[in-house]
Amino acid sequence: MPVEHLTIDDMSDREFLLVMFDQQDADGWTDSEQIARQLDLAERRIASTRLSWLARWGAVEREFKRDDAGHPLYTRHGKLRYTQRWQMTARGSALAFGQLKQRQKQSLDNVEDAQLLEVAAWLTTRVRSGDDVARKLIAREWRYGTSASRNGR
Amino acid sequence: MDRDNGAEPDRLALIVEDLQAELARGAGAVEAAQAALAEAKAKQLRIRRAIDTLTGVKAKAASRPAKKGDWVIGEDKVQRVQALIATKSEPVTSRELATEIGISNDSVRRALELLRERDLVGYRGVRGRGGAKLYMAMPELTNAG
Repeated sequence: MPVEHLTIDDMSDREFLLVMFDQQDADGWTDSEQIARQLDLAERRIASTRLSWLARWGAVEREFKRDDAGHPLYTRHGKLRYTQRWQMTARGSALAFGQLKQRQKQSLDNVEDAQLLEVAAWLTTRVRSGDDVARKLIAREWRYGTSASRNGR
Repeated sequence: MDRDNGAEPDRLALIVEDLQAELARGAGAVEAAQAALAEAKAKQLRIRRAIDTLTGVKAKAASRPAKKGDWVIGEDKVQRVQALIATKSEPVTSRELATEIGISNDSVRRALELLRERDLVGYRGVRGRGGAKLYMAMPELTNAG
């Protein structure tokens, strides 16, 4: 039965980016139709919607349509014309594969339960001072990780 | 009553009257039975409370029949699934893992969902349209640094 929707509770951004990575061609581009097929989505649009959000947050970018000379093409209203292909940005790649150093991860692993509240407070302060994209992606990751459906509640 | 159905109006009216009286008697019987049932239930409740008071032990409530989806998978099986999927370089289905480990497909699916909740395994789509779900170990969030 094809999937009719793909919310953050159904699939994390990280999982989605990894599926995108699996489907990318030699140049690093992935067609939204391929993602839709891989995830058994009812329509390409469902994949495109998630991709559009990820593009808004800087995790992916969409390919421009270009003329034979390689110049971007524009609509009559002066907007860029796009194809249906997308690729992961450096930020998206960091989200999918991680950039923590082993030492940093060990430090975090060593935090005791009682100290987690302090860590959470530090993290929220740090996120507030970060850029919008990071804030949004972290908020989504938190929402996915703590969603009721994933924790048997 | 009209005359088209061939019945005499007076006779039909009598039949309807009889049936209405029968219905009223039936309603009374139903009411009486309901009252008796309620009384019997209340009596049972009183007896149960009396037993609880005298024995100091709460009478065992009728246990809910176990639903098929209620069981929880053992951590040892989860660990085995995690260890096996970590060795795979391509996404795999639960059935493939189940065959290799030698446990049921249902157990492996539960283990995979649990590992997914822990962000140790990721969903990687399906094999073909409407095919089996594919899973793969999530990459470590660390680099070699």
